[in-house]
Amino acid sequence: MRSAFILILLFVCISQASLGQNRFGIMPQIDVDFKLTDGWKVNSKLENRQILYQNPYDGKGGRAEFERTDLDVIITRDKGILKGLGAGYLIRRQDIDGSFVHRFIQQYSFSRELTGLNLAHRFRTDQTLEKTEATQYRLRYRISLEKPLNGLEVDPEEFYLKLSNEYVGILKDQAGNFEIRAGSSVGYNLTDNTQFETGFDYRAEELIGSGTEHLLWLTLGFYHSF
Amino acid sequence: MKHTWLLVVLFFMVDSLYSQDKFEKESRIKSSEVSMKATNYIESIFPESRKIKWYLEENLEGIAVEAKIKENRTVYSIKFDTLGNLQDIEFIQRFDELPSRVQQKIRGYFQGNYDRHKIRKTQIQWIGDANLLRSVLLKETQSQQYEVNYEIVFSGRKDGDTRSYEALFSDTGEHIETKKIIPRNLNHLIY
Repeated sequence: MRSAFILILLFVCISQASLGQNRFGIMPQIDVDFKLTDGWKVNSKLENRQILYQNPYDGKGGRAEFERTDLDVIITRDKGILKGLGAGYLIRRQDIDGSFVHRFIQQYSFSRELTGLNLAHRFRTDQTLEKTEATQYRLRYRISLEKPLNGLEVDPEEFYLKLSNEYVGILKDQAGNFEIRAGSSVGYNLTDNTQFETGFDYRAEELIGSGTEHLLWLTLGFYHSF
Repeated sequence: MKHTWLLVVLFFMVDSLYSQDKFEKESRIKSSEVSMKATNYIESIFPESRKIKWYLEENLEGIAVEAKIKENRTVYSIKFDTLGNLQDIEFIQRFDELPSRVQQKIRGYFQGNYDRHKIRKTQIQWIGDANLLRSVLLKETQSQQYEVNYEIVFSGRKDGDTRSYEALFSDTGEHIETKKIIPRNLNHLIY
């Protein structure tokens, strides 16, 4: 009874919070990882965005609409002095007009296993090219942590809590801007190579200037390493 | 011919025995699920502590029950078998607080076996009679009739590759064994 009450209260709070955002929707993703050769691995992600509500509404498409599909591939060095360095490419199809966006990505990441907590740091630079738009340059830093919900380590068939915080500096057309992202999700470690996650991803975009937008995404993630 | 193949297989196994892999699974349990012998032992040493967490630990050696207590800025791990018999007591200590001869010996081992190393955690391990170890912890005796080992978690670089390991050293700093820590796949944190 108590659990049902908490779930209903949570649903009401999130529904109300979502209506307070400029955009609210669902962001499912599938992420796979595999070894290329000794010391190199490839990560590939397919991500969609479905807007369920947006305000203000620009009159194009629908207040609820399918926004985009992203496919990216990142190759990273897995060992040696260059461990953690990677580069990749993303292609995005924007549903509103069928146009494509191309992004080149460079990253450095590392993780630390602490007692009762796992941390990961990721530094990224990317360059986004779009027809009829100036090239956008971004510098990003993200910290993520994983906390087991049972015991001191996340074992197979156990749940965990994942929190992340990302800061994005943007430069486009000689104008700078800033974005902050915060994510929280509950994950299930089916095996040490397969995880399911669901949670929320909040973004405050265009923090410099008067056009700040607040976005809230319900995330659904599937991760698998071959 | 049959024995030749066996020798070839054994030859390739020798390198993998140099450092074994560390496998461990633990889960949080309630104190009511722990043997009274173990809970009574803990309460006799830490009667006023409220921060006692109990874990069930499964590894290659079997199943054990472990109490983790934070007291006076020190984290104690006290391990029992499922019947409540004490197996060992461990507590975290800074590496530079170990006896200097022991530090020297351990550093010598790392420098001789790894291109670079970084010590991440040092634990002192006591193995001995449960009553004696309780008296030592309560500072009722200064007897040293128990076994002391040092368990060190470190990252070591060898052949251009950096890995995490857990090594065990004797009270004089002699190396006993090293286990490779298999890192968890954390791609879901990075991507």
